[in-house]
Amino acid sequence: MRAMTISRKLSGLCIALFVITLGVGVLSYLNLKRVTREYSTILHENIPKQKMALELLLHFRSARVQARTLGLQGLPSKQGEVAIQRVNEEFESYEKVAKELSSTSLLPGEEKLLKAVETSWLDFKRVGQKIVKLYRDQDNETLLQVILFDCPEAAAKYKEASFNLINFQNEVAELRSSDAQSFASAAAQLTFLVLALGLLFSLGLGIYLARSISQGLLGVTEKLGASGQEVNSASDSLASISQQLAASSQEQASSVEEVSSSLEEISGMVSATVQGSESVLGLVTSGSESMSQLQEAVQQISESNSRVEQLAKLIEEIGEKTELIDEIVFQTRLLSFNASVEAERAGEHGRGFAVVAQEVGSLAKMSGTSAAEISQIVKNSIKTAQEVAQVNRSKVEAGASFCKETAKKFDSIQKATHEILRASKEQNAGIQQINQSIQLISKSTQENASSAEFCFENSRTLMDQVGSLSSSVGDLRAMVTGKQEGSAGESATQRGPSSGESNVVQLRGDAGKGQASRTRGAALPTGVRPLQGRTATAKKEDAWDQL
Amino acid sequence: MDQFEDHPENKKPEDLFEELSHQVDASLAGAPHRMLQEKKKKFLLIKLDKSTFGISLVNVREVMGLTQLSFLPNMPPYYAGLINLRGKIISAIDLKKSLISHDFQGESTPNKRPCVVITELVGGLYGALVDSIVEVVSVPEAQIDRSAQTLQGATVFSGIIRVDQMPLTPILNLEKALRLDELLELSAKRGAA
Repeated sequence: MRAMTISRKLSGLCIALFVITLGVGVLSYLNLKRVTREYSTILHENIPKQKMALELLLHFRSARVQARTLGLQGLPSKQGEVAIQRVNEEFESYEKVAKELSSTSLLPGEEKLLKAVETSWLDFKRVGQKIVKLYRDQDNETLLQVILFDCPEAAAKYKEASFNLINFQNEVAELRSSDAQSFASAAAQLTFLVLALGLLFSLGLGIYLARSISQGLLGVTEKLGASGQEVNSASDSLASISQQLAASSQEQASSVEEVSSSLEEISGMVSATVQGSESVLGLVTSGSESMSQLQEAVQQISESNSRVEQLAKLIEEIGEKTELIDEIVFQTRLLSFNASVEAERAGEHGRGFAVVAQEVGSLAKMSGTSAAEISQIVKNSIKTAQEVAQVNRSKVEAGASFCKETAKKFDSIQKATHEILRASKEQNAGIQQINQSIQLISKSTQENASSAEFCFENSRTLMDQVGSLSSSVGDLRAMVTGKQEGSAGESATQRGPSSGESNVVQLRGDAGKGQASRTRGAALPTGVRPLQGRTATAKKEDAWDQL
Repeated sequence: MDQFEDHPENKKPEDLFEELSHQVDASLAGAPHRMLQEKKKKFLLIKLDKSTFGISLVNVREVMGLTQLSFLPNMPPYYAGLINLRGKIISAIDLKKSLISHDFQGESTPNKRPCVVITELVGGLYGALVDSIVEVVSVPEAQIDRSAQTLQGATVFSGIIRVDQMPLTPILNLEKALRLDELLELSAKRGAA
């Protein structure tokens, strides 16, 4: 029940009432209809039957009267004829009515009675016809006899049967009437009972619903009051947060400016890097060219080294030639010695020749020493040349490999520099993107600041709204309880002093003060707007800070 | 280049020859005067290893480079072989080896370019194998020491040349040094056999 809405509750109540009313109405209608039916049965069935039965009796009586008329002494024949005709007429009428009666729906027991009436009627009719015949036959004796004895007997029998029938009809009518009556009274009682029960139920339901609704509304008002307090504190904190947000937005703005200036410096550095990389690239290119020149030079040195080796071979050839000279010198010396010998043998004549021979010998000796020296020099030269060639070769090889290495390094430096250049350009692009982002951030910071201001304003408005809400809650409460709460202070004292100050009081007070503080705050900048105007708010802010 | 003209190493061969001719003329011109002054003997200086020996030029017929030696079997170790000297067959003696038994103290090392001194002795022509020929020197008789005291009784030497700027050079007694007597004995034995 508690989960149901008020409209549901109320509509439930209405439905209950409707159901009760409908039940009572239907019951009443049904009972009334039944009573009506009973009575209509009496009216349309029993009464006509009774009437017919009475008609039958009436016809019988007139027929009997006419028949008895025939028994009168001295009856003119004309009268007799009329009487006979009347009797026949009555017979016919009787037959007609009897036929009508027997054609109606017959109750059990009624048929038997009707049969008895019919048989008695037939007896009577036979008597009547006999009377008529006797009258015709002018048999007055028999006629009288018949009228005096047979006729009253048949008439009595018929009367009895007819009375039985009428009585039965009466009884049936009475029975039905009493039935209807008793049913009607029972229906009335039932209706009354149902009505009473329904009313009681409705009353209880209504009271319960009203109580529950009013309790629910009271709870809602309580909750609304509490929520108003919470909203109040929340708006307080919101205000302080928006203050903080404004302050931090300012800080952010200054940080963003710093970042922007740093970015400019970085951009300058990056462009310096780009310039440096470009100059390095140029240097590296020239260095690479120099390296290729150096490689060519090394190649040339290698070629000249092979020439040096050729030179060493040439010198070796010279050495071989020197050996030939040595041989010649040896032979020459031998010749000079032989000449000396021959001169000695020649004696005095050969003396001059001996001198020549000696000189030739010394010349040859000189040649020999020269040749030996040359040979030594050649040897030294070969050695030196070979050493030089060797050293040169190894150095050239080392130089060539060094050149290759250096060229490779230059290549890698070039590549790396290209990479640096590319990376620096990307960095530049990235910095520009960052710059754009920072401008966006700056924009959003400004928006944040304005949002914070707006938020602060809204929290103010919210506080006012809370105030008006609390007064509305008071109104609602008054509406629910029916008591006119004279002032907020009364409710504050009712709520109890445990919470210090009542929400409503505070909120109303805020709502009152709000105007003043707003007018005061409007003159001040957003961040400096005083929030500490109220002690309660100050306490809450302390609590918030502790949080 | 002018300052280097007088340097002897820079002289051209033609100039050198001219100079030598002048010297020869000069020595020829002064020869009678010198001959009057002192009698000179001529020696062929040879080298055996590092030692120098003198051979009297009178005994020398000619010198030649060692061309071909024909080995002779069953000869003493100092006998080097036979030499064909323009059709003449000459016995060649290895002077070093022959001198070893005569107390020669030099080392016996194989020579690269040995020379043969053809000597004309009493017994005929003999070849003496030497390591090299140094020069022909003229030595005054006064500077030849033939005293037995100096030679210490060594019969392979006939004297010692002592010139001032020269080391003492022994003069070989070739008959002894070449052991001609032994060879003659040997040939006589073989002839008898």
